[in-house]
Order: sequence, then C-alpha cells, then structure tokens
Amino acid sequence: MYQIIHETIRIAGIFDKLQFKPVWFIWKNKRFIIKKITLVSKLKEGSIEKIIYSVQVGSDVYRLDYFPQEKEWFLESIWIDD
Amino acid sequence: MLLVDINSYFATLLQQENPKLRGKPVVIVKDLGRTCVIAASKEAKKMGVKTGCNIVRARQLAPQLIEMKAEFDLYLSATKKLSSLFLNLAPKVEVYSLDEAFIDVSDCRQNLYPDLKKLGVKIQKLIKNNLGEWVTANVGIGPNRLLAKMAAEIAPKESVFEIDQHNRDAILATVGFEDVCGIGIRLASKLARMNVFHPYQIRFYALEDLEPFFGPFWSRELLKIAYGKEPHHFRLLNDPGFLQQKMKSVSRSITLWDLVHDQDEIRCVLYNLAQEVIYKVRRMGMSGRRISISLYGSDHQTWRYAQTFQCFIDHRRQLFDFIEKNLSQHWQQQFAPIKFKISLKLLKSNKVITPSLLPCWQKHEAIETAMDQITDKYGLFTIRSGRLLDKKKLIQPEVTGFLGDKDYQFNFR
Repeated sequence: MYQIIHETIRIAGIFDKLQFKPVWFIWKNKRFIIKKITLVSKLKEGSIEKIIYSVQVGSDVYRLDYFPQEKEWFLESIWIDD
Repeated sequence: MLLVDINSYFATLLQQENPKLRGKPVVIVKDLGRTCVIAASKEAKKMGVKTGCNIVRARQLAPQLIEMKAEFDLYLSATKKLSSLFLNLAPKVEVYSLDEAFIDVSDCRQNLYPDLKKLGVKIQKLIKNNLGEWVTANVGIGPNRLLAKMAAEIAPKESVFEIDQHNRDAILATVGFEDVCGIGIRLASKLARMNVFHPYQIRFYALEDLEPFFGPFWSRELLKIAYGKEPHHFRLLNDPGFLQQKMKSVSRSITLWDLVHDQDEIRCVLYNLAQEVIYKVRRMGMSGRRISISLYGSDHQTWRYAQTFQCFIDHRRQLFDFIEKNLSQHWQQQFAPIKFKISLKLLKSNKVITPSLLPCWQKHEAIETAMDQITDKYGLFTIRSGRLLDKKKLIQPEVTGFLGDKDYQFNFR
C-alpha cells in the first residue's frame, strides 16, 4: 500500500522531447536517483492541475506530485510492502 | 473499424506504475475493505478470479492476492492520453469506456492503412511507448462495431484479430453470448431456454417466432446480431444528433460502509450527491425537469420518489428543497438505507430554454453563478451549501469504469 508523506522536495531533471523528466530529488537531505519513470498522470481539480510522476528509485516506488501553477513538488507517497 | 481493449486495465495500470506488483495476482476494489472485486490482473484471472467476484472467494482462489484501491483519476488520465493518441491515427475515435475505444478508419483506410493488422500491431506498440511496457491491448478488427468488439473479446491476450466475411459465420456459430456486446445475462438465459447458445442459431428463428418471447424491438436486434450487423446501441454512435444530445440525465449514487439510521445523515448524503449532480449539469450548460431519489436497504428494500416539473431545474437550492420536502413528506423511514442515488433527468441545453424573468430566480442564479466560478477555479466543495457544513467527510466525485459521464469528463472538466 502507499503511505502518504506529502512533504516538499527539491528536484532536478531534463527536458526530453518538450517533456520534463525528473532525474533525482532531495528529501530529508538525501538524494534519490530516479531509475525509471513508470507512469505519468495528469489530473485536474477545478482549475488546479496536478501531474503525478510515479518513479522507481532502486526497487522502491514513489509518487511525486507536481503543481505546475505553483511550481511546487511534493513527495506524496511511498509504496510499502505489506 | 477497430476496437482497442486494454487488457485488465485497472490492474495493469497499477502494475505498470509499480513494478513490485507485476507478475502477481492483483485485484482492484473500490476502496480497501470493500468486498466486491471490480477488476483483476491477468495473473489473478489465470487463477480463476473474475470481475464481480467476492473478495473472500478471490483470496481462496489466489492465496497470494494483493488488494488495491481503484485509482480512477489515474485511469481517466491514461484514457485521455490514449484518446489523443488514437486521434492522431484517425479522425473518428469513440471512447467507449475507460479501457475501450473504437477507431473508425473507413475514411482513411485505402491510402493510410491498407493492412489493418499492421495498424493493430502499430497501435499496440504506441500504447506501450506511451503508457508503459507492461500495458498490453487486444485489437479487434471488423466491418462494424459489433464484430470489431467481438474480435477483441475472443482474441487471445495481447493480439490482433480480424473478423471478415470469410470467418464471420464460423465465429457467430461458435462465440458465446458473454462475448457479444448488447446481450446481457437475462437475455442470454432466455435464449438458452430456447436452446440458443450462439448468435448464428438465432437465424433459425423467424421474426414472428421471436416476437412473443423478446418483443418487437429485441427480436429485430437479435436477428441483426445473428447476421453480424450492428445493433441499435452501436448504430446510435453514427448519429450526429444522438452525439450532441446524448446526455439525457445525470445521476450520482454511493454505497456507504454502514446502514444509515440517522435521518439528518440521510438528508446530508443526498445533499452531498445533489451538489455534484447540479454542478455537472450546470457545467454542461443544461437543465433538467425530472428529479428522482432512490434509497436502498441491505435486504433488497428500495424506496424511490420522482417528480417531473413544468419548469427546468438547475439550481442547487431547488434540488435541496426537493430532497428536504419529499423526505419529510414521503419517506416513512421503513428501513435504514446503505445505498443512495439522486438523478436529474429530461435534460435540455440552456440554449433552447428561456430563463425565468422572476427577480427571485435571477437573484439565485447570480448566487449559483458565483458558486460555479469558485468551484471552477478551486474544485468541487470548496464552497458548499450550509446544509453540508455538519458533514465531516464529504463524498467526492469519482469516475466510473463504463465512463457514463464521458461527455462531462472529456469536454467540460
């Protein structure tokens, strides 16, 4: 199951074919290198847009939320094995 | 005509997102703790777990089962991505449900796609490139929607299958009714009582023989299916008038965790659902004339109340007053409901309705418009009726698998 974290993170990435791809992020002073982006989902609530980047770091899976209007990044949740 | 059907969509997409789930039996439930399986992964299906199966039975069939909550926003996002992908291939694309889309290539087939099977393989690759390597799809090809969908249903997983004039009759003579879109369980069991188990067998009956059992409409529809022709529900998709005016009602229902005994809570749940219904209706620029409320108990108890009005309704206040008045007058509290439903029907576009000239209506319209603007900007329930202030946990909007509100989701959201 996914455990909610919802903490702001710093992120670095590249633009590839006009699309932003996160490469690593810093959470709690630790750098997490993204091995793979497994899914990108675009959501909208009212006029507030949100992009969810589901990423693999090592063998762990994280959901990173990006709010384009506020330009804010959050580590939203982490997959925890039951 | 092509029908693209993503294999085990809800589960596959979550397996795509999380590689730890791949190769494992995964089932999707609406919420953790719910008992009805709404989707199963390919692995779970191989172990006998089916959609609609009870979770206890699913756990018996697949002891290593992983239960996941449905992520409808993620599914809708992927469906929108697929829709725009398909629109790059052909101009006529009809998203049929969250995981299925018809692609009509009849106008561009001759010049662009002389080999439809190659196009099918290309679509499968495009899906993998855009959604991920774990996402697989069946592509059914046929001269019409009925046969394209049938082809996708009977094809092995992750394959392209075509029904044409050479294999059509053989397939109609062997396919079961569970793979025929439009024939439900009741109709299939009625046909079984006549020893009809495959569409082709219907051809042995004349229209006059079928009519006493199925009525004039369904008898004709069954004969069309028997000959592999498009039945009414598919042909409607060709009608531009139908496409423009297909939203005839907006409904919202919810099954709660427990029976609700408190009358204020019953009222509150209905207000909550009504606020979503009226926002969707207003967002689409429509109004309705018929309101219906339904309450369902745990033991098949049902209470319904509906009323048709002379004037059109598109204000929250009108819907709330209807709930308030009719619950107090007609609801005899015969049972504690667990499922709630509210609908606004007989919808018409506001473009063809003359707005009321009464000052009180116009005053309320100004308030409703202001509420719409806030909701448009910040989302549903950012501003809500005072009648919902006591409700601690609001019921949020959700997408359904069959995408009944696709007009709203694709064009107005």
